[in-house]
Amino acid sequence: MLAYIIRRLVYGVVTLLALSLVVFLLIQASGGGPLDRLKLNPRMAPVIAQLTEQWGLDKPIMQQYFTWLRNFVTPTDVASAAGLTVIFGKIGIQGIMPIVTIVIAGAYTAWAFLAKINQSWWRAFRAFSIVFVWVIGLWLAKSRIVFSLSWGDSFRGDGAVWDNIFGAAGATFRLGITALLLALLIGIPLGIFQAIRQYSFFDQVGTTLSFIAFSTPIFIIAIGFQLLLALYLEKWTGVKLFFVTGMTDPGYNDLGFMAQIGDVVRHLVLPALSIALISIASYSRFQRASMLEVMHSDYLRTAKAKGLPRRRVILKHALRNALIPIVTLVSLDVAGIIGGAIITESIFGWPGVGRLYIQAINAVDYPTVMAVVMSIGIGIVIMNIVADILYGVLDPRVRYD
Amino acid sequence: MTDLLNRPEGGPNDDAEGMAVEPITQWDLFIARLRRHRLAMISTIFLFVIIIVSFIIGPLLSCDKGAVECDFPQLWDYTDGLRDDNDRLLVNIAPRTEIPFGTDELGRDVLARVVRGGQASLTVGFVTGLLVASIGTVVGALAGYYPGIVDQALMRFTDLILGLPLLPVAIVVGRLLPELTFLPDWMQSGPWGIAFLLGFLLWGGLARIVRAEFLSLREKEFVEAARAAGASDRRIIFRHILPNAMSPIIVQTTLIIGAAIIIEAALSFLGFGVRPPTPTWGGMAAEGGGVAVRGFWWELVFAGSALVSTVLAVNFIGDGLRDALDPTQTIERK
Amino acid sequence: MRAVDGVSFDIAAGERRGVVGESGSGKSVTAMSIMRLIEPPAGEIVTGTIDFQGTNLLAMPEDDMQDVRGGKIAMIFQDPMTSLNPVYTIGDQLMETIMLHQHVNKHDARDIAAQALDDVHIPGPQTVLDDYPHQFSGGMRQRVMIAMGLSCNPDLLIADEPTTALDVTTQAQIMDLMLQLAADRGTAVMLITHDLGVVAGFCDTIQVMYAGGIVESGTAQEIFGDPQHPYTWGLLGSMTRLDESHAERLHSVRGAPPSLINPPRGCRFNPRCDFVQDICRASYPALRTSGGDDQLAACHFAVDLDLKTIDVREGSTT
Repeated sequence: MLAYIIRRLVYGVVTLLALSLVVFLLIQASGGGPLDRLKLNPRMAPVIAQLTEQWGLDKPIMQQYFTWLRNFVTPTDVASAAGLTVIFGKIGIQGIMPIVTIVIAGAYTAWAFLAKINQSWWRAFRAFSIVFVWVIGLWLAKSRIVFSLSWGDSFRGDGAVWDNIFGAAGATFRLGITALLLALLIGIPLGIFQAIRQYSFFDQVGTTLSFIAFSTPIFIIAIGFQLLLALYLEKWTGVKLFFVTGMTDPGYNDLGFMAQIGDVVRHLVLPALSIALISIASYSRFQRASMLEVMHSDYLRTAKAKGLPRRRVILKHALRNALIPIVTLVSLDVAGIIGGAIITESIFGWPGVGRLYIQAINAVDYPTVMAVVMSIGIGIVIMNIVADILYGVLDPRVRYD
Repeated sequence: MTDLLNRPEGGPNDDAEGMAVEPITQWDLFIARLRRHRLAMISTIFLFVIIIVSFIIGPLLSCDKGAVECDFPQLWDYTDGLRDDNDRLLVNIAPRTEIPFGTDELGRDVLARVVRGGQASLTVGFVTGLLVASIGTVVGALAGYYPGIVDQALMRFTDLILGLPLLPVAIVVGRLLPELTFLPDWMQSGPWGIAFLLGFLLWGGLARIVRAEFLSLREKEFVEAARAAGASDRRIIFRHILPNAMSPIIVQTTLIIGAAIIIEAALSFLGFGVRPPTPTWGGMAAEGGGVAVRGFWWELVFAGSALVSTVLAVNFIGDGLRDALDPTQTIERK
Repeated sequence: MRAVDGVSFDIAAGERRGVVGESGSGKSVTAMSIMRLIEPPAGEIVTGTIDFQGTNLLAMPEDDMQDVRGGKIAMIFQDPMTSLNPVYTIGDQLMETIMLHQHVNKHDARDIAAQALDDVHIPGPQTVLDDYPHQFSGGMRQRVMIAMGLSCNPDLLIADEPTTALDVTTQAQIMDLMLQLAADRGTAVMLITHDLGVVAGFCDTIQVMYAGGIVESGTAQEIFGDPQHPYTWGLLGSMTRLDESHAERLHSVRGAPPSLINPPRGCRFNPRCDFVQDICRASYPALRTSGGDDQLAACHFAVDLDLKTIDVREGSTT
């Protein structure tokens, strides 16, 4: 298993290198280089000199690429180089928190993998709980971790690329995770019901709707939601249910706790649902097909012949098998959700990585463009590996070798 | 086509010797299944009409009147706005009898642009489909037929392509395309450049499918037989294996056509797709989305409907073909 | 289409019944109907009664039927490789049945499950309970299926081609084991197979099915000693026998089973019958006593024909 993960990581790194090289060369090949646009502004001369120095822009292209690559993986300073450096200045429960959470997460992971576990539901729970513990742990630790790579300064003059991206990442995570959860919570049950009531009216409507969702570009969905569920809804009924720009109201900090939650939700629903809609369509189609295949399987006939109630047959024997292939689909869909976020963020003025990317691309701000593309690429590689491991945990037949 | 569908599994009546039953060929089954798929049939007719309108009627009826090649008495100008008697632009006119689809923000006739816009969108779809089908089939066939180093190398490359984040890469290339001076003009702007871009990004999935088909078909007895009879590799690949692997290729290509049209629309929305003045449905829907907030809904609705219904038709055809080409389905089912 | 039509038969307590026929003759559909496992859109039981210990199963509420399935009537399927759920342990799947029908707690169910595995001669039953199906061979999995079927002491065990998917050496072992265990428990067995050899060795009574109907039934002795229906005769002729010389060619029933969507008029066997007459093409023969005391056959000429005296190898007909 370890060998398998390492091999996957190596492939992932090769893919990322190829990705960076292609994007880098394309940017270099377009219109004579990234600094040409800055040269139009005479006041930028010192900046140009500095950037030229930093990125070695007067050197041959391949050398520039290696300069970029070296910078990309180099921590900014000594403290950062030490790794996940924790500020011990304010020791106390706050300062120790990150270490504690990471140690707990690590210990839990080690224990969960070493324990001899044969209960199948427990195996599934274990997989999810490990991911969960790490997410919570890193989230708790994040404010205390000082670590950055020297991804350089933005060509648009708005500071360090690393800070920009990680400043925007939270917003994109909020949007992406919500969209993913919506898609899973709506799409999978939908597919299951469609399969159980195959050829029913509900099934036919579901199938038709998912075909329509498949065939609609996400920006039309997003604009449609904006127009129908926000603009016209307010115009016609006077009810202002959802907001269409930004993550929160300008006066957010003055709101009470419940009002804050309400405000966040009302901002979040429309963009998240726009992204989720296509995923809902694809999950429900896939879940339906996978469920139908399982429902016609021999082992389901055995389960029925044993005298199990229909509910139990479906919920225990069919569902568990039918959910396994979904894991792969979801991991492949992560790229789709990121793509959806890029477009939706621009439409809803969502201050995330997607909007940052579009702004950077319009200005051919190449340190930012490169860094965002690479971050997305890294995210996808990690997700695919996680999905493979999850698959192995869910399906006892899979052995990695 | 008949040849393609003669699967080794054979028809359902292969062993019915001595029985007086009319033989049913795979081709008959294919047609029967496709007929039963009413949506696919309607979609085929619809798509056919759209193609004729976009590629023949559109160019005949409308043109850029400022341009040189416009020597034909066309009815519509799709690049300049309509003007009233006082030579003022008729901006954002709601649909009415003489302008059934209204006008856009620059006073241009939306109907003329919708009719014309299909050309770019469909070109992107079909050229991408063609590229994906050819690259994916060749790579998949070679990888599936020659195990070992060829397979390894090609599949690593395929994995690499599949590992690229599609939209971010498409966006950056789409943005830079007009500035890549080493490319020929027809690639730098217009639908062909986008189609090539998408074609090169999307073939990975098909290559994997074709490889899997080849891997299983290579071991089948009829391939062994051909090999024993001294057929060359080329002949075995093209005459014996490929025809049997045709149905997933056709179905996958259809789905890619739909996907490419949608991705082009998304790129156009961001301003990185087919560049103006060439109208595309995606670009029009994006423009229409901007003015719809002010109540001018028609450009979004008409361009959007044209786009969605065309992609929907393509997807229904794909679905119909998937059912119809599945040789394990007999006529009795359902 | 009618997969099974007008089939009627009884199985006594403790009886070992063999059901024989080619694939598509309706054997499995009959068995699935007894268990009421045929659901739309796959199919539907249109009419009939299934009388089990004085109750009509077809009129039974679904809840009560669930007690019958697995509890009073158990079923073993053809392909052991796919008949066990791959994502649950063997213990999980065995204990599930036991807890459902015997109303015991998890701990006791585990003991019963281990005992059931021991009964089918699986070594180390306690560890096997925690293993997954994919860790076992087909023969072992079929043993698990038998253990599962018999764990609740059913009154009737339906075995649908239980050994077809296994290799020849394990076939006999599994069959022996199954019938021995059934005999110990006094469980009646309905053994569905296309292999007359299996039936000959293991069954008390036999019914032969063809194209969705019974064409002949009787005790094993009657069927093998004095077959009345030309189809049965054909089947017997196609058996390999080790105790006879190879001078005689193996016979086969010519042609293929008819389509049930559009069955032939009259006797359904008429297109393949060597003795076909006009009446065979015109009317459907009813099942009636002929030959032995318990023997029934559905042939117009069952009483008149002495099949053994006619040499069909030359292809001659009357």
